Amino acid sequence: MSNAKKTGPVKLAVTLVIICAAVSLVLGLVNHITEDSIEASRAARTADAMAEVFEAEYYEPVEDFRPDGTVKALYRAYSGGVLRGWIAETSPSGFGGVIDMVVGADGEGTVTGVSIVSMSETSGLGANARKESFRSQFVGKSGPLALRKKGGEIDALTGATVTSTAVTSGVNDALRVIGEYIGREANAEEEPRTSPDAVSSATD
Amino acid sequence: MNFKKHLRDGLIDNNPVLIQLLGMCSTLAISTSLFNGIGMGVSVTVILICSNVVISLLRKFIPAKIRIAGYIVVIAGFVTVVDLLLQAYLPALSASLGVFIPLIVVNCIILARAEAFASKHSVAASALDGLTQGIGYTAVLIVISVVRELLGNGTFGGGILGPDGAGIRIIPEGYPALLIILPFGGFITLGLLIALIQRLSRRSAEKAETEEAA
Amino acid sequence: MDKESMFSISTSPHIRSREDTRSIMLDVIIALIPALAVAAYMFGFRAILMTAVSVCACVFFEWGWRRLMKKSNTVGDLSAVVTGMLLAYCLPPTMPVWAVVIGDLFAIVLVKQLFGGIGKNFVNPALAARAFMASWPVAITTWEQPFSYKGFFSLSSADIITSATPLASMKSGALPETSTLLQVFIGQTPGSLGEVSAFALLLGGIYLVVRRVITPRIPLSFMLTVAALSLLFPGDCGRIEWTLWQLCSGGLMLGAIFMATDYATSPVNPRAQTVYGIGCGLLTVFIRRFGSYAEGVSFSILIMNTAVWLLDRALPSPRFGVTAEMRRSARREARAAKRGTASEEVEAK
Repeated sequence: MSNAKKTGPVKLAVTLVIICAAVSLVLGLVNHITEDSIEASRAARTADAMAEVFEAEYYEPVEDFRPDGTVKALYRAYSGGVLRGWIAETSPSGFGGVIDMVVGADGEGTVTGVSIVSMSETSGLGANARKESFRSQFVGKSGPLALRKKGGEIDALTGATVTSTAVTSGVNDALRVIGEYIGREANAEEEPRTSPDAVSSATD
Repeated sequence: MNFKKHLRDGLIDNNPVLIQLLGMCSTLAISTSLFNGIGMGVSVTVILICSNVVISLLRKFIPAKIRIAGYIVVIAGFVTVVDLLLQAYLPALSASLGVFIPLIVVNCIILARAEAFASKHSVAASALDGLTQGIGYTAVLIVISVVRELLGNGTFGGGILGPDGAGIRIIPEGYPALLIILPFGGFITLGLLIALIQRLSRRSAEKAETEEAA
Repeated sequence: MDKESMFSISTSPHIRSREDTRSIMLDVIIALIPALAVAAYMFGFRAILMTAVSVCACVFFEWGWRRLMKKSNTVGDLSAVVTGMLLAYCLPPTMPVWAVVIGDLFAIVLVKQLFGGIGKNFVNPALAARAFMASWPVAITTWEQPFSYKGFFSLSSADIITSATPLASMKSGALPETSTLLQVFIGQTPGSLGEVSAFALLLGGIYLVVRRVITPRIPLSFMLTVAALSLLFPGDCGRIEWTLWQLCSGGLMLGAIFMATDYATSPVNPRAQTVYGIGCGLLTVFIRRFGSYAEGVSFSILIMNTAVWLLDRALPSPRFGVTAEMRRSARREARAAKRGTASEEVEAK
């Protein structure tokens, strides 16, 4: 290396800056080209997951919602301009990490569907939570749910009590939050109407 | 002729995974279905060819002192490009390979070929090296993926073939050995494959020796 | 002069013995028989059949592999028979037979023969195969209730009643209500085929100690560690009661007596053996209490197997003829030398 050219710090810096600038330029270009498709496929994935748990024409995120327990986001589901149901994104902790799932409920707070978006549970055991036979147990039920061995109505997956408990607690959290919002919304809507209603019932 | 020699080098004699023992992390982690194996293999091959070509082009331009930093920036650029393209046009593959696409940046195969080959050879030779080494990596991934998918999940061609892309079921459910799909199975399968290659190459070397002696 | 005696020369003192691998393995097999008898009584003929299939498969794979690789055949040393028995012993009695055969293949070919055959495997083949059997997660966690078979020779598993093992109940800190301590000691409890009867296994252990096949060092340090920790941190019952339950349930007796003492995968030097046993005991208690599995004996032995080389090096036994006084003075000298160089370095600075 004795005859190698001595390179000063300025040249080193300039070379690196040129390389970085060139790479950034390429990345910017590619990002510009792919941005729309990535956004579209991401939206399609979320919409698919939502449609699976509650079929509706469009979904609208609850703007003022703050994460509550394991519930990360809440959506209203509308059809024909009328609020039909609710969808909660919730992430309870399972055996192999966080389970990302969505829970749908109708206006009465009854479960309409449970779907698992992503999880890292053991395949063959906890990963069976994706199976229709397990998820469909929640449909049509409301109120706090529990596994059968704890006196509830949900059959646990064979050999995967932790995962089953996690999914159940995720559904419970979602139902609790949705229940609160149903109650709040009912109050907000009823309040202006309380007086005429009260009057009519009084006259009856 | 030269291509044939290079190809043999990449596939067997100097295979990046089985002989150089590079890029083991991604090999062990994603080789659970045929779709994953091909997807990862092709992604790495594309990135390897591109980075080899660019680094060979820049080999006189980049000063020796900062060459590693320069290589990494170039490699990271190509990895991000591939990552974005996959997310946009092959979202299923992107989801299934997950974090291992961004991790190609630190896949030793690419940096090793940049340092050991592309920085010292012409553009054409570097492109050829990228292609043959990439083919070697992909071939190993496919072999391990097929074995692990069959023994651990009982299917062939998961992600591409069969109903809903779940693969063609060969072993009925309940029989395949689950652990083969888990990381443990990756280590065992890779270890056996390396042992097999060692045995075969040793045997062919012995044969060559006896022939010479005779 | 045959090959064997040509190589049997070592430094003095020479002790001639009629002992060989075959006679030792035969003793181990004899010591394992009582546990098999209890298993047959509790789970029916299926237990004997499963053990027999496992033994035959192990012997076949050992013979087949050695033949395929054109190596001398080692079936005669009976070590494959012991591996087959031990693997069957640490599986649920309802394990499908085809899965047992795959486990045998794993134990003999991958764990034992690929590393060079008897004496060269670095983990216990039966235990490694037991860990591999987690491949069938449902089958390996289904435990048959003793006496739930229809007829002694019935092989159908349709009507079998399953229940949780005592350790699964004890995981939450409470003793199981379904069985008594005496039942667990005798073996009338759900669990792996050969592990249920602490009594039969202890009987086999005493036989092995009397025959000088094993020294009690590893089993005792293993069990005493588990006992001490259980005594210090009991569940929702009396300390003594909890300790006895911990000792008698699960695979502790089987593991401590028959698996942790495997010659190839346990330390040779006495002090290293003690540390090895204590390590097994600690890990067992940790997994039983904090792990996600109810039982930790097999994993703790597997983990300690990998530390055997290190333990033997770190805790060597003294050379013949070296007295304690000589060792002490050597240590003093070494320490003095170290201090000397250290002070010199300080001075140099």
